[in-house]
Amino acid sequence: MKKTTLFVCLITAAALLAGCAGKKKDITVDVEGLASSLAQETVTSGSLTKAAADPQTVYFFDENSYDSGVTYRSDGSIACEVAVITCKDASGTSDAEKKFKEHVDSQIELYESYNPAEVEKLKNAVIKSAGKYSVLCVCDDTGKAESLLKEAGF
Amino acid sequence: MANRKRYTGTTGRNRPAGKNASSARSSRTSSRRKRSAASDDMMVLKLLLLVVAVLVIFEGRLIFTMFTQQKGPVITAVSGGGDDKVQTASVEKTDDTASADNNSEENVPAQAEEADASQDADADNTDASGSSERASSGSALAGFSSLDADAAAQAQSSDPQTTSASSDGSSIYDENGYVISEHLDNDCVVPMQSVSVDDSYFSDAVFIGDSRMEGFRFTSGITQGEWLTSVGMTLTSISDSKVATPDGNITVYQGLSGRQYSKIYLMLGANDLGFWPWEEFLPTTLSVLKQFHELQPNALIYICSCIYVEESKVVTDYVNNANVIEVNKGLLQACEELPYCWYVNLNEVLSNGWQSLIQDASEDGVHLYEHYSKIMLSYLKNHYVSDTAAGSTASSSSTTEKTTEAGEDAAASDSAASDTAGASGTDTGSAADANTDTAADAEAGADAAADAPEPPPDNVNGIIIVN
Repeated sequence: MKKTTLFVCLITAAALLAGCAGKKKDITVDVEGLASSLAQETVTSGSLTKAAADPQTVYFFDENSYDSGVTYRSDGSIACEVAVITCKDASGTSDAEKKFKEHVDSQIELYESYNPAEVEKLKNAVIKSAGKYSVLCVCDDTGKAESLLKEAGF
Repeated sequence: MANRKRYTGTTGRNRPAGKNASSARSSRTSSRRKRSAASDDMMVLKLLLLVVAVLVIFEGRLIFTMFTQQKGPVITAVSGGGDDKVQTASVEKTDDTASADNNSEENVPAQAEEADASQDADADNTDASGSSERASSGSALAGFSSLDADAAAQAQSSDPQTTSASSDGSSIYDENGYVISEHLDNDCVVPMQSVSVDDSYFSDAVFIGDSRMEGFRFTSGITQGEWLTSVGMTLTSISDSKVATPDGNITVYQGLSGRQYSKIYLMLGANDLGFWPWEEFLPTTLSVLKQFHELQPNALIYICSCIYVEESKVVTDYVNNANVIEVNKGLLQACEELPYCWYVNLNEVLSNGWQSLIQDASEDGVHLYEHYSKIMLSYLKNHYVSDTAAGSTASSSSTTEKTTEAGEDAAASDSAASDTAGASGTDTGSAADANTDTAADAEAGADAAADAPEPPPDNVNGIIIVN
């Protein structure tokens, strides 16, 4: 009896643990809405504008993995920026994160001599993925960014 | 008979005999069973606690939601790998800081109706290129404001120096909405064309510049062109600047060493305002432009004037309009000496009429708001060099001399600018893939020459906006 109870408990625990990691591919993100929210609510040192340029031409994603996206950039005075992209599938997000990181590293190198005050924001850049979506957020309020991303399912 | 000691065996224990022995044994057995049962219960209890702990850790939020009946987000695992720069800061709610000095574009005074002449010559002493102390001024976010002519007109100040009138009461703007005092009577200034081009004109263009050019790229709405831009780039040390490309960070010269372009748009000078000595600015600029020409022999080089700054907002003393004027003198001189270089006089639309940037066209006095970037794009779309040498410009005869020169150079098969402009006839081979739009340019130029001058389109607040 005891052994039976023990066995049942172990099976239940295993089932619960397995159920925790099975829903990442079901997420749906409002790319435009999320990008807009991040741009408006996390940047206080300036303003960001939705760029007409395709993020692919800015961050140089692999064409085989990138699908579409939105990017918000500044007038050139601050390092803050937001990019929310959709990959063709979840496996493409690794390339997206890699390109985001390379971009941030490049910006850090430039801003160290141009405007050192902006470097801290770049070092605290938020780069996250969920499902087939990837996000880059360089902002003044990373806490707010994390909160918005969490609400969006990241 | 002496009492016999009971046989205790090797253990020395007193063994009860008969019924007492069996009852003792049974009592010991039951106690052992009780102890065993108790330990089993404890183990099960511990396991249950473990299960509960696992539930709380992994599904705690769900359980909380279930009990509180609040709708919560779907918990998904983070799938991304690699280096993660996420900072696990605590969530803080911040209030929007509405600044008293709201620099939202919606509240910007009409740029064509007003001009700010009351410039404060004093400047703060912090870095100007980026202006780290910017938070106090505040700003609207996300740049979603749209041109509101009525609101802009209503914001007109009663101070005569901030109106569009000059000291004698006449308008500072011409019929095209350009600042009269910024007109340049020079053959190498790009003329206004009666026919505006669209974005496709820039498909074979490369834009080289500093943070202002980057800001233009992302806020003007332009959709075409290649970009070799980098914050902090200077004309006087351009070889040290690196730009990001799909192939990694490279120099501007490396970026110009591959694909051939028909046009090069250059916007530099803002980071050269502290350059010294000024006598060396022109030779340095000429050297850079000549190298560009060697790498891109078929390209017209459009040199954008250094846009004025709003000195009251700038925090570095050498970033001032007197130095802007010096830089522009050097750029104009370079254009006079090099036939393939043309001067794009942006201050015609971005000046307040008193050799300063339009008031509140920028948050930090240097980088333009979205609205003014769009104005700049419109200006580029109706200021270009047409392909034919003579009679191609409908607006000004003063440019004929420069275009005539270009025509003569083309006849001598020397000038790359002329070759680019007349690319339908000549081809250097390496520029084959850069000349797709030059035929269209030729047609546009020919049409402009053939048609009678048309009135300027959509004149909003005196500024021509072409979308």
